[in-house]
Amino acid sequence: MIRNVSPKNFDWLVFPIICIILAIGMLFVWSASSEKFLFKQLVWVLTGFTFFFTLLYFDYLSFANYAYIIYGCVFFFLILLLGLGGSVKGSQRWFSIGTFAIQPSEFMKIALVLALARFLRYKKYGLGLFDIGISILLTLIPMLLIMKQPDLGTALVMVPVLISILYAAGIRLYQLLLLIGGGLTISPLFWMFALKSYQKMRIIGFLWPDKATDWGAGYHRLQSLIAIGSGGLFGAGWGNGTQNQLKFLPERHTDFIFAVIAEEWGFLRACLVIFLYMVFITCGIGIARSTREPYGRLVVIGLVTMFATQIMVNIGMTLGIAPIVGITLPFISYGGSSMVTSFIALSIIFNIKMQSKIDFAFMK
Amino acid sequence: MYPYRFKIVLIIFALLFICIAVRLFQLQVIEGDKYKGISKNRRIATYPLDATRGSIFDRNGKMLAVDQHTFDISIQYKNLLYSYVSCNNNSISRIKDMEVHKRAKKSCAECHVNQDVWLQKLSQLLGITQVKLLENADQIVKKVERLKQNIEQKSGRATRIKEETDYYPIVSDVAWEKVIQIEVKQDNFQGIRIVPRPKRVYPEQKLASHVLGYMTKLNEDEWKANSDKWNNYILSSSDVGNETSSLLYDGYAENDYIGRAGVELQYEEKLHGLRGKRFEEITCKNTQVEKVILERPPVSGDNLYLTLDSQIQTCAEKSLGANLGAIVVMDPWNGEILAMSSSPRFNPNTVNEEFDKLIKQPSKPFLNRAIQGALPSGSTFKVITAVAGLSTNCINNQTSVQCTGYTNFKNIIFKCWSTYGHGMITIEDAIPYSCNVFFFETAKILGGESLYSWAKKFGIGEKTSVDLPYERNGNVPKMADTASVMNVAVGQGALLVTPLQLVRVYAAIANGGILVQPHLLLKLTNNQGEAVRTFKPNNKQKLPIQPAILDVIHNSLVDVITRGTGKDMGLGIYRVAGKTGTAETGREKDNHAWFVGYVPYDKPKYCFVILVEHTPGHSAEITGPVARELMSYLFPEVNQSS
Repeated sequence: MIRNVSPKNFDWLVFPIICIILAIGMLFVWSASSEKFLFKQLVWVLTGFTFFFTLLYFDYLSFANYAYIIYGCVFFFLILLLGLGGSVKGSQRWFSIGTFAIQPSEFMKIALVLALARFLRYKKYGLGLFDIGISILLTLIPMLLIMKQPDLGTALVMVPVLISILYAAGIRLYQLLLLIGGGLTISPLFWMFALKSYQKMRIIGFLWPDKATDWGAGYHRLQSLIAIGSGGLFGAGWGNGTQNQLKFLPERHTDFIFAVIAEEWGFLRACLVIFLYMVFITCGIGIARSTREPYGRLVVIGLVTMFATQIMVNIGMTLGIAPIVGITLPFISYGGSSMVTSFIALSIIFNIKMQSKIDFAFMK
Repeated sequence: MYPYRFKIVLIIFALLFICIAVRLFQLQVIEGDKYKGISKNRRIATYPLDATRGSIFDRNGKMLAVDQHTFDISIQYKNLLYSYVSCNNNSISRIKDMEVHKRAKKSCAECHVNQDVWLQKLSQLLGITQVKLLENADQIVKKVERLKQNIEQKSGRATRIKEETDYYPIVSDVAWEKVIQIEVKQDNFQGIRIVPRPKRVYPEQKLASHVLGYMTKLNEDEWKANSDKWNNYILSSSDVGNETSSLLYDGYAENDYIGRAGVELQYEEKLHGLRGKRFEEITCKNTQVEKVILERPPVSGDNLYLTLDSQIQTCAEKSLGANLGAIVVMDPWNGEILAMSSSPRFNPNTVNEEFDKLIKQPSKPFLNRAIQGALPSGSTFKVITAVAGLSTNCINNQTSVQCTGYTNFKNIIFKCWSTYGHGMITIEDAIPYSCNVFFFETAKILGGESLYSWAKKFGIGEKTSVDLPYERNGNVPKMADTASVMNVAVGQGALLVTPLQLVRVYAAIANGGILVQPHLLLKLTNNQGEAVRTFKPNNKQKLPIQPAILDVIHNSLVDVITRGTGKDMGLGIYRVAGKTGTAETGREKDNHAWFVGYVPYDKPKYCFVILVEHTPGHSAEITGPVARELMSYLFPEVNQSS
């Protein structure tokens, strides 16, 4: 197959947007923690860019060939982690290799998108029961493992990803509604068997704040709301947020960094951040739409959904409208695994975009 | 293929993003002022909620230490300040401000009405003079004002500090009836708060005080070091998995008590529990709580069960009486300490009042002699010399030595305790009659290195790792010349052992050569009564001693009581095996009397050590009555039958 990769197909709208988001992110990682973390974050961003440009040189269709193998490998690591992963303060999410800690669950999200797209790429409109069943299994099994780790946030991101890929692959509407309905019906099973009691507390605390007994989440929520609310229209100014600088706000530089942005930059500029993300998501869907090759479009829609879910749940939880689950804000939150996986996903989207102009009509 | 589907996805995402933006608008623009107020920390107050400290029980569940509720009366700082200003016409630089405030009081009577009244009301109610109350208040005011001055100097402008809005305890341990009176007439006592505070009580008074330890207030530096941890409760994403640790912050609040000795210190972390915290929104008057915003209930500490048997402990303490010294009773098979008494003792209930007096006493009541009193062991050490000699084949059962009352080595006279000598003597008589000359001769053949290594094997000169703080090592000297080997071989010279080390050595002989780990922890239970931790030995080791050698030692220890130096102690009926020892301090009529052993000798149940320090007499005559009393408590059935 002839590859038609050219710099002129490079997405010159999304790339600068991501760069701006990264810059904002580093600014506030600095404000929320210290130079030390800023420097580390810089290292992660550079690592991310290395991954980004390296992966651009591969043909994304080769990802399709290796999709199941990648999926299998990451899955294997997940199981390994459950078996022998050193429990870091009770939760098993990391593999430590030297000073680096690798979080397989982050990579699982991408591997899942690749595998689902590979499986569904040539299906005709109106997926069969078998197709839907296998897709659900592909999602559900790693999801359960990740929940056991326990990492509720990452596991929950997989649900919208599955739904959007099925939707783009041509599931019938009634099938989709049945699927969602069925999911809601069996969710009590998850409740009983898969969730740990503190996770249940988080969800109860979110749905019925009065009955919340999870003091930690309540404290988080309160401090985050105070931070955001006190930002007002124009904010306290960079480095001046009381909630942030006096360390009232927990998880300032990772999960709750949006609260810091909102406190110090105020409503207007926080909206700018949301707007930048919105443009990114819109462009992403545009790429999916204009990609004729079926594998590519499924991968793009899956990855874009992944980004969108993470962004919305993360911001939602700082605003007190989503349960507090550990989800990072892509390209902004401090953290290695999250940064690198975000860049890998971005690279795949760009890769597909740069080849999208090839006419695959001859394949039909 | 289905381009409209992508549009729908886009629309859904766009709608959700708009929702987020709307919510952001609501929080930041519409409700912004409300949160701004909160975040500037003006209208929110946090209060620590005390956790109940875990209780301490003996092995049978008898309570040795428990938290009881007492009540403090706390006064709001501004009231204290007003009283201070109105009663002391002096020094404070802010006095002019106060004048202004006083005038303001007339204009806003509602908020400032009761500022001086607390003093007379409390004085009336509690029957404490106003002067006394003011004395307490003065200290607090001075402290806070100093802090405020420092902060203002640093920042260069007038600052309102958090300490100014707090309540401070003025009277502690208030009777329940008075507390009710205040609670009922809340309106009469504005600016006064009743603060329940747990108080540590030791119901058995002085019993096992050295094991239990005591508690005192945190000093200011310690509190500062810990309060930072306390305020900065951080939930990091790595903590999320752990159900309890994600919710807690540890540390201490001001005026907290902390374990300073004994198991109170050793298990402080477990006993302490987790402090709760309450966030309250305060009204303008700053006296009433508008609403509790958030409350994290405290988690009480784990209960500690000790291996101590309080009956045996009582007996041991009675037997020891007024003597300066220590008694340890231990299970020779697993190292459970059944009694550990050291005399003189202190009363942990009143330590805080008597601390200055106690610390100055020459008899050192805070010293736990069982683990901290490292002294020369006297003849009790001969058992180790004998095992070393027999194991290295320097001597055997038949080796006999002529004791003439002394031996001469390089023109130094080494005396036996018996001036007449013991005649031809073998190991089987040398231990019972405690013949020094036999062991001097053994030491000459044995050499320093061998004796040193055997002493170390028996755990002399090293901590026993018992679960108590501040244990002493003792000391086994490196013996360079034969003379010092000879000295150490009979338990003199630079040799220092603690009673606990010694009892462990005899436990090893009683149980067939296993060096147990002495310990006090039986189990820790959480507030549901489930055991969360039990004792796990980490250094239980088998000593390389042949059973035949142990038999020889064992038989001679039995003979000590039946026909040797312990013949007159009257312990025969209890079937005691043991060894006496008199360590000389070099001063006339000033010895340390030791008696170590196990009982009953055919089936050892207890292993014990008795130490009486600084006594004029010899071991058997001093420790004899003590041992007899202890045995009569331990084996009441034997008393009746005899």
